[in-house]
Amino acid sequence: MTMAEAVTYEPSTVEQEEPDLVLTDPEPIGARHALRLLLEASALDRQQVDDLVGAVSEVVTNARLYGRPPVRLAAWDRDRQAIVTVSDGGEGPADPDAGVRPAKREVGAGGLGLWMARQMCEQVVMGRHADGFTIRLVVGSA
Amino acid sequence: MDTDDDGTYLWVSVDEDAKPGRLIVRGELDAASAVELADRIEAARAAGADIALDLADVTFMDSSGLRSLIEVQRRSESEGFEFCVAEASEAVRRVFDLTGTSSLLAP
Repeated sequence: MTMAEAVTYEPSTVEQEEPDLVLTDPEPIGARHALRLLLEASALDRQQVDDLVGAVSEVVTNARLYGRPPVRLAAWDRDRQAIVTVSDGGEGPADPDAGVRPAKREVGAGGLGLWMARQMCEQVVMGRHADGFTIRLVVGSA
Repeated sequence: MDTDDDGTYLWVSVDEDAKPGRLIVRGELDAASAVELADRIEAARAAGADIALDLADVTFMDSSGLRSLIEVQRRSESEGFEFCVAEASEAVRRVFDLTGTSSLLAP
């Protein structure tokens, strides 16, 4: 099987701004609660918030299991849009398309969490950089 | 969205008014807390009970929670006991819908 080339992470413009929330090495439950609190007053609907919280929880769980510390979460609340990045010091999944193909979501085969995260967000972007690996999750539209 | 002082955020109780294997689950079911649920199911199985889960008060479930349910279902087929999710919250249904696993839910 040929493996696709590792992708270089390209930050979005919002990531140059000060985040509204930063967590270092969060437990998944801590990440969920902090994100819910941040988005309490946003213009996103409940399903969007629930889905983003679910997706972030999956990605934080993966980072803690398979990545390398420190795991860093940053979030930007832009009213009708929320952006969350989760970074760790590791290299990320070997396959940049991890969690894309339906075959990978067979329960117990791994990759199910990332597959779910991709279904729950408008945008999932990931890649490597000098300090490790980052995945960006976006719900809503600017 | 609450936790006990010791950090617990998943609670499992036995429905005293129902069959012994009917477990009422409350809180958030993720990779860490799924272990607690698995232990309680194990205990009910040790007593020979069929398993029915009431997940109506589960406010969050992730892929690990789903995986633990699928695992019990697989075991129920190989070991010959009954297993179903009797009640499910919106959060649980969302995961079932996304992953095409709604058959876990009793009709």
